Amino acid sequence: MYLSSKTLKSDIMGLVNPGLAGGDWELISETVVSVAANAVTVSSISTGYKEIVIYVTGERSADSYANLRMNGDTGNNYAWNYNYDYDGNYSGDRLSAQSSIPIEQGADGNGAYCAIIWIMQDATINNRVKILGGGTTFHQYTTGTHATTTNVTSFTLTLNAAHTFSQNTRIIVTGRA
Amino acid sequence: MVTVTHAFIDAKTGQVEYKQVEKDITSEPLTTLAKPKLTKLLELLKDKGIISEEEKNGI
Repeated sequence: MYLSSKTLKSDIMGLVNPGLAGGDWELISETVVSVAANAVTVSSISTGYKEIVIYVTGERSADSYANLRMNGDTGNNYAWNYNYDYDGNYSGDRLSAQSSIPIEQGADGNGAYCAIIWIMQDATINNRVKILGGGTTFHQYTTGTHATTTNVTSFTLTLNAAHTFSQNTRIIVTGRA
Repeated sequence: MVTVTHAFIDAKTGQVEYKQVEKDITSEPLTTLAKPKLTKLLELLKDKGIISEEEKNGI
């Protein structure tokens, strides 16, 4: 049986979350950042997606950590729970009433960086977020909520202090209605 | 305050705009970055007998 990559991706995501029926995955945007940036905002995302998945690959400067905000909300409207493995040390934390969701704590110096951010939105419950993020020796799994049922039309990835995503960082946004 | 570059991507048009913005880094939470290093430091202090297991876990 022939499976296109698009069908295969839908099937894989369907296995992960079979409760959300919907259409095929669509490419919303794909951008390669040409200037090293402390923050990246993607806006003008159409409403109506049940799921949005964001892929981030690139490099970041030393000991920086990345956070996610949605729809420009800087209020303390995020709650999350994360677990991480840092060079063989395992730990985690859970906090509520936070101003962003951590993607990865990034305590492993500069270098390769990647993250998969999966946003699930439904008009009846607050938006859910699951994140896999990591660098060379630091890996993190985060699950969180954003206290709103408003669909995500923009999001911002920010590194702490003045650290930067490298100029070749690629950000791919996909969605499924 | 520091000056940083912020990339703004329009998903509809694909256009990217880079802006220099002022950022207040004093309001950033330090715990998320500091925690892994603090954990290692506490383990080191415990291994050297400077603090106990209870003190390590209680901090």
